[in-house]
Amino acid sequence: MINWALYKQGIKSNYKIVLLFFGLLALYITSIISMYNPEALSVMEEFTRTMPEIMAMVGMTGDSTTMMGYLITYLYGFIFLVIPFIVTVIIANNLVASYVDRGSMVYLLSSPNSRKTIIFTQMKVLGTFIFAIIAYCTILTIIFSEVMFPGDLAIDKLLIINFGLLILHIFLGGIAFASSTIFNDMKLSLMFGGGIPLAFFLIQMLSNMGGKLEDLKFFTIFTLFQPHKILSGETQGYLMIGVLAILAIILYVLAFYIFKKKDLSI
Amino acid sequence: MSVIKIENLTKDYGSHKGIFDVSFQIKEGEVFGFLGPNGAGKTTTIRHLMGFIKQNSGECYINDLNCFINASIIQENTGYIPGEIAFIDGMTGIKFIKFLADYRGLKDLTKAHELIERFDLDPKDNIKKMSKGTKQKLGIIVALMHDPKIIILDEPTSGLDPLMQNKFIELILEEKKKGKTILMSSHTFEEVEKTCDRVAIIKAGEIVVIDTIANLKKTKSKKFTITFHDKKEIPSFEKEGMEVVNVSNDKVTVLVKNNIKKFIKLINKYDIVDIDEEMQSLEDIFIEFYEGDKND
Repeated sequence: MINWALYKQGIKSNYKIVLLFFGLLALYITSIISMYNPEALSVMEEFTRTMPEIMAMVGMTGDSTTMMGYLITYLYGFIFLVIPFIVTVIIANNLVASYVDRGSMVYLLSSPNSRKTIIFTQMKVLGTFIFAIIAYCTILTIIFSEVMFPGDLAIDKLLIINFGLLILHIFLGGIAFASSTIFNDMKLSLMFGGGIPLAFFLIQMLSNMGGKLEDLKFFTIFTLFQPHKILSGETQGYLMIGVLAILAIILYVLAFYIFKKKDLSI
Repeated sequence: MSVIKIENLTKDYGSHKGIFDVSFQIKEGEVFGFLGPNGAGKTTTIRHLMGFIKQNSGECYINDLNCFINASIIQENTGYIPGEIAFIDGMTGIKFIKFLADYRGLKDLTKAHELIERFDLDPKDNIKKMSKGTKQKLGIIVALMHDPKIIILDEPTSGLDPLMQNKFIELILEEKKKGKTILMSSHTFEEVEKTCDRVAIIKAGEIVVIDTIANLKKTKSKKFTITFHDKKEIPSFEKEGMEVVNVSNDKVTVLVKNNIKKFIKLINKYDIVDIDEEMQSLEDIFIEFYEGDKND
């Protein structure tokens, strides 16, 4: 169920945005890793001491005595959540809602390709980009930390955690993609596709601040991604990834049915 | 055999917008005109045929296949020019043609190149920079490059200059000779009368009349505005029994229907300086049909 011409078109028209964010990610990954200092206090811990609330809010708390723990604290609380997500929302919006809003969906539909083929192809384009972004983060993290601090990174743990990260982003991409199929207006598609995960993220930030606010964690999807728990080998950490995977499947099935049935007044 | 079959098709968008109980059939090899003012429901009807939207009630079939469920099978042999053309951004004309061919699984681009030459399109231009007319040409090329058996055209000549309009009409007549089934919507009678066998007229979502072009021409009257040298002659002209629609200063507008000979005799009798035929709007034609209905 794929149309290669459309797949290629999807890759061609979106890869530039992805490259831009690759640059941004490289900047963050290299600077965070280079600030790691296993012997003394890292620069990042210095921040934590001087402004604990802010650091907690963006999820930058936790054990950072090992390289993996350090990375979880400083990359997986904010940067690895938000940056790939921004790219995903833009691409998901480009793949369906933008075609409908601009009217060029006419040319995709008036062809021997069924709606099923069209939507599956677009899902695959999105999936390819999400996979590429997480793979890029993984490879860059491994290479850079091996160059700077050889042997310090538990690569096996990193791979497992990044698999979880991949599932999380496929799920978030599912929200954006479903939104892209529901709304015929690009603005609305972006508002909901980006807004719902953003709301979850804001709740997550509040809950990170602790105290009474911690209970808010039951209202955000980000609670299901716990790299600390995966690192310490807790089953719960893995189970949550499983739940995310199931939710992601539901979202894509929903997007498929919406697109297949909807009226497209184009 | 009917290639296109629409039966009691209804799509109600509320507040009297949409289409109501639309029915017509188009036979194989027939060129069918679909006339109506803007917003009458032409595009809505066509969207059903293309499988873009689903009706509230009624049926529509192409080759006995359900237009919504079997859209992709129907589309193998259908060519379509949308009413509002929107291509994919950031491509040149030729890239778009190649993308669509690839996307359709079409390998033979002979017809595409033929059409490019015929309509004198510069395919290397970026789509973004194309004028409305150039876009329309590109729309015609991609609609016909796979040599479809059924051709659905939503106001295909809008934006084309008269020269290209004529070229387009020639093309349609050629396709008609090849036995293609063609549905063409328009908001002017003149556009369809050169190509179509039969015409359906739609107004406010409802079909007003379906008839052959020949019959419609018979019903259709013409409006002439004549300018008198001496406007004092006007009162006596008015008594000649012609249907005078309007008098202003030295000009008189007359409705001529099945009595052209009498009209010619009359204008010979008077001292006329100028004569103009007025293009009749669709509204005028509708009004005639309505009145015709009442008289019958």
